[in-house]
Amino acid sequence: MNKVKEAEGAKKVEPIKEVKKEPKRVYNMNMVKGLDSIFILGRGQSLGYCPTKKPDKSEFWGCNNIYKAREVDRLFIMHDIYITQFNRKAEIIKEANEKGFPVYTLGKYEELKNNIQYPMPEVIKEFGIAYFLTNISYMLALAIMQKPKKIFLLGVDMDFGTSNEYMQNEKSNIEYWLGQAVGRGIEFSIAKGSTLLKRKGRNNYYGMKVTTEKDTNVIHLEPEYSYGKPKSALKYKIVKVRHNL
Amino acid sequence: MQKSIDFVKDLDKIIILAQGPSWYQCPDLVPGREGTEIWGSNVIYREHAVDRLFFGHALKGHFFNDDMNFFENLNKIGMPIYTNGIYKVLNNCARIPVLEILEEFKVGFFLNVIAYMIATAILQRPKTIDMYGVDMRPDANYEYLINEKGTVEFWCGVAMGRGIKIANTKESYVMKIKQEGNFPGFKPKVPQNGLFTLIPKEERNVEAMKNYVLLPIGEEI
Repeated sequence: MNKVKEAEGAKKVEPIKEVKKEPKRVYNMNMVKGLDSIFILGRGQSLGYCPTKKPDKSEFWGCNNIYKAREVDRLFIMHDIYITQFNRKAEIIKEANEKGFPVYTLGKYEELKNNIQYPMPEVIKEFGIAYFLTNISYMLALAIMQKPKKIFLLGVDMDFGTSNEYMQNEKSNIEYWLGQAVGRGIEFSIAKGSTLLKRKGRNNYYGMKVTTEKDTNVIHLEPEYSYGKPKSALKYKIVKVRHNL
Repeated sequence: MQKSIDFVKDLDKIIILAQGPSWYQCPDLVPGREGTEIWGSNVIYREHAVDRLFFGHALKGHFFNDDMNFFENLNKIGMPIYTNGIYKVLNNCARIPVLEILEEFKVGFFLNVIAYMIATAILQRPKTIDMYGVDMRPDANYEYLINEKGTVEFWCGVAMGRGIKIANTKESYVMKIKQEGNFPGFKPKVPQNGLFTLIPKEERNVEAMKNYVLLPIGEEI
């Protein structure tokens, strides 16, 4: 009896559940001019400030394997991709191909499905300088050329605790490109926590005292005088005195 | 010819002359060359004639370190001097236009006097900004290189973004990571002549210097 029941049960065919597939995302392989904003995403802690949902008329540009943290519209890998793959990110080529976003590199790589060679001659011609010490500097230069209203830098922290070379040259290299953006009338926003456009332990106004109003957070700038005394004589002398300091 | 304290717009060239070792490559002032001005920083007037002079920090330290007749010499030369403070003893002195710069660029990032100078220069819309002695060398102190190189490069970026050409010496590290020239015809600076030179050499140390005070001659105004 039981055997019959089992046999009958075996005949029942379960209806096939329809697996809802996410529609395959279509990426724009061409650069888009005049966006509201381009978000440049680095690997620093402040990447956490990046919204998960992209605002309208915006693009997320990431470097290296940032696509693991945020959906990006374009990826930039400016080191040799085989070295990157071998040393740190074994799956980077496979994953980038699965995602399907355009991958910008300095050379051309057959293994990358949507590989676009970084337009170095055009960038150099546009700015009249070849000064790129980090992934971010390449990204900033290309972003500026697209004339967005605003560029956000998130995860581009240039921590004071990182290596000397990083701080000495790479920080200033990014600051140079931020200057280019300002000169061309493009606004930018830097994440809280980034050291860009900051000096450790001192204010940003050399020779000035900066005070912040408690209620409004408005800052006031006052000149700093030697020994706190705004008055000066035309001439000074140095005198030896006896005291016990 | 002595310049007026007001800045001149649309010059062909503003030369920014600072104190790094490539300073000596700066060309001389040529009378009648109205399209070019040399803007110097700090006590560079001791080595090279300039049209305008900028100080970002408080001034009295220069009596001690560089020039015991500091204010008198500045008044004697008579060039316009730009400072953050107000110094009534100086005959031809005005404030660096920090507020105007902030209004124009909406960015406050001035970690040294060169940053103020480049920003002020950009406001005057010259065709070119040349720099001498703005070397930002890695063998200068660590703090200097880490942060000040960035502030200089930021303002160079702003200038270039506005279509102003920037030129620098081969020896400078600005917008570079290595020195390209080797200081041909190098000229040393004149020795410092501040009040400290009046202190016996054996007392020029942190402890012994505590026995010395700087006193005004005449009224402080």
